[in-house]
This record gives sequence, structure tokens and C-alpha cells, in this order.
Amino acid sequence: MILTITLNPAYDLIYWVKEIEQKGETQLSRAFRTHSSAGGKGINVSIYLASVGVENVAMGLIGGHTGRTIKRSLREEGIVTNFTWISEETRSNVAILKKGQEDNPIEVNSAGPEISERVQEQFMEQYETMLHRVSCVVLSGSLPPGVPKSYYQELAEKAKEMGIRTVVNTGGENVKPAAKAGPFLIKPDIRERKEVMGEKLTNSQSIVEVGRKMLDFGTEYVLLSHGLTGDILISKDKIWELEANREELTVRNRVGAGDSLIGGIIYQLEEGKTVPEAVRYGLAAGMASVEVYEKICRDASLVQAQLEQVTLNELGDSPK
Amino acid sequence: MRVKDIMTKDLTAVRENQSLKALIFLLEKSELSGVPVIDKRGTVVGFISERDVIQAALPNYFEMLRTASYLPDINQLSRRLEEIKGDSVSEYMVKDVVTVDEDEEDIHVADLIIRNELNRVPVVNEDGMLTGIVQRIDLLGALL
Repeated sequence: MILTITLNPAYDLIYWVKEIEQKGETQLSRAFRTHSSAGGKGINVSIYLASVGVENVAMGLIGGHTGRTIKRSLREEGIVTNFTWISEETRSNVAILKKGQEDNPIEVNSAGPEISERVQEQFMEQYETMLHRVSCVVLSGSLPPGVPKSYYQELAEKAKEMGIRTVVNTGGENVKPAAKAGPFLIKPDIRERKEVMGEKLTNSQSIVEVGRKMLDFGTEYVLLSHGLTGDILISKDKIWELEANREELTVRNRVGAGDSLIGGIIYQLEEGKTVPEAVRYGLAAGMASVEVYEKICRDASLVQAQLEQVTLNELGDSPK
Repeated sequence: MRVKDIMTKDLTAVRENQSLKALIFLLEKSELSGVPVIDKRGTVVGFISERDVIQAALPNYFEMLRTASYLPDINQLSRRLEEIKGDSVSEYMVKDVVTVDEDEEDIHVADLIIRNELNRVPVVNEDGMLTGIVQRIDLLGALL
């Protein structure tokens, strides 16, 4: 069973509008399409995995009416839930996609509620109990206020001690501590800042150098994006470049694409595929999710069609 | 139909060493009336409900309610809850807990629920680990 962790979940509200412009006075934009669902990066991975029949359990911190809504919607997806309750209301995130510019959404994410040490300890106890029955842990998304940057490191280390694979997808200052735990795979989230561990990602060489630093900490695979359609996968021995055909892509909603990528990778690893092949499938799953209005593409034929557009090339040996 | 087809796949539970205060917080926030009690591996070792907490605070409360002359004293309940809030769940849980296996037939669970006047029955795997919960409403929904 796969365990996904979302410490800062959200209820996602996505609006498609024809026009949105600030002209110095109150503006009302009518959405011609809306989509709402339980969210947060780990939860999105859970939804993807459930859609392809992979049994998984979602853990995280939820509270209030929004928290109960998230829990109920995950149960309806067939996902096992095991949340830790907090006193505060779970946040909601908003994405606005302007017609014709869906490639560049306006995303407004609230920080999330402050998490006390008592809740962190309670969550850790639940997490340790859950580790007795899972084969892979996905640590995904931002950390809510009050949770130390080293929290993912602690979670990853506990999983590693029990011989459980960990996949990390987070950004900013959370990346370095997580990498230090030596997870199986780490994919830094660079949506907010195009830099990882203080290094700017300007070209393939800088990506490989940053990846190398993370491998030195004990991480087995590092996956770094360079744009919507391309990724570089780095292991201790090899480097691979994955490229998708952008020309065939119709962007409808980018929200959740990165989580479909992670979900696709885990799905294929569960199917016994190699890491490069799993990443290739993951990229196709991410591309397919971009093409649909919902966050997650549930149509395997669309993923298959994208898979034919993704190339996987071995670039050579990893620099020592 | 089997239990795993109708159960609610929710692992909300309380650890046996947790306090009654933590339990009351969990029941209030999750809007549940009772939860399974588990050990550190996730094995079901008991069940505790809000009724067990009231019983712990005022042992004769439910019996007294049956007499017309009894007027509940909320202040007394509040004082007693304050006294026992730090006690561990294991002191007050039902230890002889009724559980069902994921692969059992729904008719068997329906029989258990009716015979034992239960609302919620923990579902366990072959190792006794909690995998979900069957509620009366799950059965009714499946029967409809």
C-alpha cells in the first residue's frame, strides 16, 4: 500500500474566465467553467493512484468544515483516510485560468493554519503506526506554519529505517533537509522559484550540478524539470533526459500536473517498471492532466497517447 | 457482498495510551461517536465511545436517567471530566471488542450489529490491524 502525506491540504477551487483585469476599481469576472476538489499535492497523488486502481492511504492535517469535505470526497474516490484533526479550518486555494492563457494560471494559495507541537507529535505517532503496513511513502507539498523545515527529513528517515521507499516532492527550504534523509526519489518543486538549495537553475549543466549535490546526501534519484515538457533524471551512475512534444499539447488546466507525474511514476514502479521508464510514464500522465479540465486525467488512453510523444534519452554517465 | 465492499475505509482511531482529553478532541472534531483503540502497530485492542466517557465520569448516569426523579447535574459531570481528562483511554475502553474480517459476508456483520446493539464495528485484516469500519448506515446503504 502507498502512503501519501499532505501536511498542508487545501480545497482547490479552479475558475476559468474569459476576462480578468484590474482597472483600479472593483471588477467582477464571471467564470464560464469551475472545478473544485480536495487538494494539496499528496492528496492529488492519492486521487491519481486511486484512479488507476493503486490502493493508497492519505494522511495529513485537516480541520473544520473544509477538512470534513476533503475527507468525505477522498472516501468517495476509494482512498483510505487516516487524518489528524486540528482545531483550525483547512485552507482553500484558488486558481484562475484566463481563456487563451491557460498556460499561465493565477494561483493564490493561503499559507494554511499554524500547527502546534502537540499536533505535530500526534501526527508523528499516527505516521509511525502506519509505516507498519506500507511499501512507499510520498511526502508532498508545502509545510504549514509552525512545522519545522526538518519535518520531512524526520518523516523520510523514519520510513528509511523501516526499509520503506520515500518519494519527496516539495520546494524552497524544505528540499535540502528532505534530501539529507536520503529518499529514493526527490523532485524539487520549482514553481515559485527557479532555484534549488540556493542554486539557480539556468541550464542543463546547473540542473545536473544541483542534482549531484542531492545525490551526495544519499538521495538515489533526482528529477528536475526544465519547463513544462521536459525533465532531467539523475542517478549516481546515469543521467537521462525526457522530452515531450509540446506542439501536440492543448493546455486546459496545469493545476495538478506535477502530482499526476508523481502518481504516474509510483504507479509504474508498482507495476515493476524501471525508474527511467516510470518517469517517462509519469511525464505522460502529467501532460495528459494538462489537457483535461479536471486536475487529474482519469482516461488511460489519453496518457497512452501522450506516452508516444515522450522521448527518453540516456545522456551518459553521471559526473562524479 | 463482502465487508471490504461496504466498509468505510477510514482509519480514524485512538492509541491506547492517549488521554481522554485527546479522545474527546478527536470525537468532537471528526464528528464520530466512537472510535477503535489501537496499539502502536495499528492492531485493534478495544473500542471507546462518548458513552464510555460519560460512564467513566458518572458511573451511574445512564441508570439514573431511567428514573423520573433524576435531574442531571452538568456541573458534576464537568468536574468529574476535569478530574479524569488525563487518564489513558485504555482505562475506560471496551476491551472485549467485536471486530469483523474484511472478507466476511455482510449478513454476518448485520447479525453482529443487531445482536450486540452496535453502531460501528471495526474491520481488521488477518494480522488484526484496523482497515476500516462498518456502520449501520453502510449496511442499510448496501441493502437498498
